Amino acid sequence: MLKYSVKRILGMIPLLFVISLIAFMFVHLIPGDPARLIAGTDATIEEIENIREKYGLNQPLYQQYFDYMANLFQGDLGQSIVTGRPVLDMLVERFGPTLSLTLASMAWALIFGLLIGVISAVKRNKWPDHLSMFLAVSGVSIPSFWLGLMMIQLFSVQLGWFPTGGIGGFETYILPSFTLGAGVAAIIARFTRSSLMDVLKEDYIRTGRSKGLTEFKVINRHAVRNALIPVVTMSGLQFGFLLSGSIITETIFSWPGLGRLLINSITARDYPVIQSEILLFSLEFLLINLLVDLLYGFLNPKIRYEEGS
Amino acid sequence: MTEPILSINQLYTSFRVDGETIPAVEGIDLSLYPGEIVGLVGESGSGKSVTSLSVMQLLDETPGEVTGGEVLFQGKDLLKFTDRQKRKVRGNDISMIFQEPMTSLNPVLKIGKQLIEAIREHQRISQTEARKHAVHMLNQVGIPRSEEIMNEYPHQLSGGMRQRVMIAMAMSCDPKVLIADEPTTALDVTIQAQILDVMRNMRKEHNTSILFITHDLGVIAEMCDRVAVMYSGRIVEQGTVYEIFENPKHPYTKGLLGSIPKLGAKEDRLDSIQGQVPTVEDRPKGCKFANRCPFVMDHCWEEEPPLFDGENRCWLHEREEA
Ligand SMILES: Nc1ncnc2c1ncn2[C@@H]1O[C@H](COP(=O)(O)OP(=O)(O)O)[C@@H](O)[C@H]1O
Ligand code: SF4
Ligand SMILES: [Mg+2]
Repeated sequence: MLKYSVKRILGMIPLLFVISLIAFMFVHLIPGDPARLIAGTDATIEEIENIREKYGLNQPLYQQYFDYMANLFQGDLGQSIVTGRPVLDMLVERFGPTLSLTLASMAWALIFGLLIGVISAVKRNKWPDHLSMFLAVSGVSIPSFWLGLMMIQLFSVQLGWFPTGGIGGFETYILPSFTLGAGVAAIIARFTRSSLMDVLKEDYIRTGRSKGLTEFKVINRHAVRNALIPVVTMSGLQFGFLLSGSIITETIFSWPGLGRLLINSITARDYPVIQSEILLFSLEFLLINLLVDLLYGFLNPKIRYEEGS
Repeated sequence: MTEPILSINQLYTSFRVDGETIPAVEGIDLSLYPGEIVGLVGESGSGKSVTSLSVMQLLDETPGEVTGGEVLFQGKDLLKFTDRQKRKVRGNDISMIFQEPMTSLNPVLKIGKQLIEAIREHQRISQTEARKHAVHMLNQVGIPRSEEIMNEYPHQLSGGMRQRVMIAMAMSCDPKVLIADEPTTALDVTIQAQILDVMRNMRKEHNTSILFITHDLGVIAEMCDRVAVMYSGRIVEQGTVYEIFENPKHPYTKGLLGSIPKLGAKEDRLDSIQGQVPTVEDRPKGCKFANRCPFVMDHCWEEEPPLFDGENRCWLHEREEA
């Protein structure tokens, strides 16, 4: 398992290399000139040139890329064009809030998603199923900006239970994590339902019943674990999405995370920050993928053993 | 004469599919005496599996439902049992093994865990004792390295080994009745013979009654004491293996016997009977076999023959009697 993980991690390096190149080109394709934006509307040509000089923006593109990569290998992500601060510091600062919000959202999503999914599969085509699937469809189709604003309106403005935004204690997490988790919960619920319904048709479920097990044991011991195998992959993917920071939710709730940093740096054409964020998101995805694969092997003995031999 | 351990009386089971009712089993009578192996044979679709699931009360998750009759186990009607009572019977008094050993075991649980679960569901014994009993059962069905197999997963075993595990599991609570639904159909011939051996041993050691379902008369001849031949949801003929093989009366049985593969021949499909099993809508009004029967008479189309002497459902038999 360890050997496998190390091999996978080493395999990520060339991939990240390619991604960095694509990210670099993509970022420089965004129309607009960061030097002009920073200098402001009434800056002189000389001032703009100075800024270009300072950030190496007057160099040919390939030169800029080589400089960027050379620094990257020394662990230097460069400096923000807007704030002048090291990009690494900014990312570290923003990563914490996004990670904690993601974890909180995934907690909601998994608890509700799995519960609703299992209940509706077991009670399929009865009212608990119809209710659950109504909720799930709502969860997927309600835009998060609307849900977020409604929650602020109801729970912060009207009832005053939670703050309208900002990061702080436990109470500041409730509304944004629910907003973010609702959609994921809905996806997990639908996925769990269909996966479990497939598993319940399997022969070994009938075997479980023929042993005289209660329906609860049949579902709990024999069905759910098998049904979770595909759900794990999908949840991992969702986790990866959330970990990139949600632009909308973070903006609505003034959450100081990676999503807001991204939108701000795109607006300001803050090249080094955008590039590094893209690279970070890619790395996150690759690592989560690895984690999912390991978990997959844990849930599915067949895979585990084939790897071992 | 001893009482039957299991007796199925006038059992009716049908399926509701898209608002239509499809009768799968229509008025079956079948008894199983202690220590006896009874074969239930017939082409695919004749209702053998539905009969077994009706006895096990495992139709809940299908669109099927028992609509009439009784299934007496030691004189009590299983159909009238509460869910709790039914669960106490399943796996304990009546066990079942299935056709597909490859998919009948849970792929994510170790063999040992699945065996112990079956044992502890019905017996109040400790984990350690249950484990010991599980290993003992694995030994009984002839599994080598039984201690190691306990810690292995189903995919690490061959089909034959998995079917042995299924038998060990089904027999672990020493049931009075074992229902085996085509237990060897998915296995190749040598493995098939070994599994049949294991089952015969089990009957000898535990005096278990076995309802042995198959479409293969060759297997019936090897295994069973009595046979019931099923066609279109009915039993068309029953008797001892000797009677049926020496002197089959029903044209369908004769057809089946005609299609037993000769020694050395590979063909094992029942295809020497002309035509197809009719679908429910196409079943003739009278004798359900009329459209394929070489001896069909006008009367056969009109009226369904009863089970004469409780053993043969054919109008020809009535004329013999007369
Ligand atoms: N799950 C099901 N849903 C609908 N109809 C079924 C189902 N299972 C069995 N049947 C009906 O019962 C008939 C008998 O099936 P079965 O007992 O499986 O035959 P076999 O003798 O091959 O075991 C089938 O032809 C079909 O019409
Ligand atoms: S009743 Fe008639 S059709 Fe049916 S099996 Fe006998 S002879 Fe053939
Ligand atoms: Mg069958």
